[in-house]
Amino acid sequence: MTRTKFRTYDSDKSDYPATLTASTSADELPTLASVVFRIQDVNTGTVTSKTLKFVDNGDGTATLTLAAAPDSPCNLAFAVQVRFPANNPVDTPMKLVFKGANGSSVTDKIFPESMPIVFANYVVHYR
Amino acid sequence: MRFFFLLFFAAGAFGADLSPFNIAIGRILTPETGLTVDDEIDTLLNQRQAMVASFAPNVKNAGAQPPAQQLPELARIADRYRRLRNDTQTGASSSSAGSTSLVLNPYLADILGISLESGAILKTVSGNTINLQIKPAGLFCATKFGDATRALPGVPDNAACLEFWKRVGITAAFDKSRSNAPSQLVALQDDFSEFRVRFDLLAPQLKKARQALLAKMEQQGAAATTIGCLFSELSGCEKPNPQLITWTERTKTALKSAAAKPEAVRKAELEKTFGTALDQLQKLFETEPDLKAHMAPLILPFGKSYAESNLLALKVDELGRTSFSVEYSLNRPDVAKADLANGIVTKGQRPPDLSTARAIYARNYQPFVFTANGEASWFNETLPGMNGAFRSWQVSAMGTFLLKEIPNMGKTTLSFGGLIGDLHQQPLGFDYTVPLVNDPTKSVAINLTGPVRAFNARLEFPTANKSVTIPISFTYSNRTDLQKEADVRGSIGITVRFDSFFPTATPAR
Repeated sequence: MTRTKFRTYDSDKSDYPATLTASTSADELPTLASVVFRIQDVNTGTVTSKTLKFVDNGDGTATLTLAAAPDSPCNLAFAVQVRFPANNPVDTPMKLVFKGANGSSVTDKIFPESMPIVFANYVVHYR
Repeated sequence: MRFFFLLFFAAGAFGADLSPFNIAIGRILTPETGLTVDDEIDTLLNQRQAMVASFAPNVKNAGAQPPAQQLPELARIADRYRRLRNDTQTGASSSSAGSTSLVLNPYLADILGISLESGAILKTVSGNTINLQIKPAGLFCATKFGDATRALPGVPDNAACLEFWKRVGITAAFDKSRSNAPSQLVALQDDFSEFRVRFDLLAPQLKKARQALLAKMEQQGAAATTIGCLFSELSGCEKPNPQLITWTERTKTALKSAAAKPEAVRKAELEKTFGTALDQLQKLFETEPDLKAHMAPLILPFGKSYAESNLLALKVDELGRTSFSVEYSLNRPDVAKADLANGIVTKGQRPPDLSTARAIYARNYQPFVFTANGEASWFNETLPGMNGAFRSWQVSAMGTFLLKEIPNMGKTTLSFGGLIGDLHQQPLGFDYTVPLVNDPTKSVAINLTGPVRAFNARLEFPTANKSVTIPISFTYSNRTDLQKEADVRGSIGITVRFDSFFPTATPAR
């Protein structure tokens, strides 16, 4: 898993199963909705959808698992939807770690904004 | 180019709502540690769902149901959210007894707490009281799972533990070495004096609100991903929109240019640039055929859902800061030093026990917390000479200001409270007698019924990361329970919350 530009990553078969783990240094982990992935096969252009949930680990973190590598090269587009409680300090982000099975990882931070619900849009290129 | 030129001049007519982006724009002015201006501009432009939702209420006659004009204003939501911020909860409760505070605090320890308070407020006889607070379900869950966070109410379903019983808190008070002040009653050493059971009424509403919020967020997830990938250069969408990709690039360039302006005008330039860009974005969605096709089925319903979900998020925050509980307390009076009221209570006996029903409300208006109590009390036994079982009523309110946080300790709080009430009959239920000053061998019955008024100022110092607090209070009252004379008193206490002494699972942060 490597970062190519802002919220855009490259991945390959050795990354899977891959995980997205959310954590925070604030008192409470923000609310995380299920994530809808749009998966576009780069050879055929076909787009499919998949919905995956963050599972609460019971230790102040939550993890979403991409269990298997896609069948063919594709682009995965998804929006992580986060609700920050009002007592989450504005300068304390939610950390999102993308970790590949091969040990690679990239980290992104989602900061609280002026509205309680914040979307962060990602694209992962799988080749 | 011509198209964007025309858009630029057309844009001013919309007047974009920048309120959802105030913080993000502020971060471009002052980036977070480790981030650059470019990173912050990328973050702002990544808020694609908020951008389209921000112009959705402006769109007229786009065929959406219900009419877009009825959408809630995001500016009001942003303002309410801003007012809820700047805070943490009041945390430690100092309030297991009325000895340092007129008004009972709604927040009990989630597992175990103890307080020692010295100096009475409305009791005639001052003394020391030890209060033990416990939430049995919290204690059970924390010890069973070896994790104090399991004691907290409202944990996720997969970590739930006795959620109903976590709403129950118990407090017991013990008198400790009271003085021999002139009273007809005396407390025995370490004597049990009060037992309280409290039940939280709002927890189910908070849980329902959280579930409704999550359901709403799940519902809009697919639309959010679709909107997000419309802007992507190479995405999982069937049809990323080239106009939006160009808009993003141009807006980024314009924001970079605005961010490079002199400091005095930088903020205004950024706001103007982004406002114009949002207006251009709206115009694109209204005029460009591929984007226009998304308006009615995607953008406007999402705008409505986005506003509704944010309102639900505010409701969760507001419910989380509101507490309403009911309480029953059983007070056991002190022991009679001599026969009272012609032997109705003989030496060594106690007057009838007292029951109190109490409602406790609190609302956290950061950085101000309002607390109110209402209570009525009655005797558990009606002895000869008593005027029925009903004894008294009281209403009290307190305003607490959260002062500056002391690092690693917590916030000092300053409270002002007032109380009014009325003693419907004698404090003990029957006539109260005092010795005559000119002839101590004779006594006279005095009437102690009537109104009670008190005012209290209270300062609470945190220590040890809020686990230990020290309240100091001063109280003026027009009377105490056994004396109809105005009094000013000082009280001091110490409260220890043992919640932080229990282990927690180590978060992988």
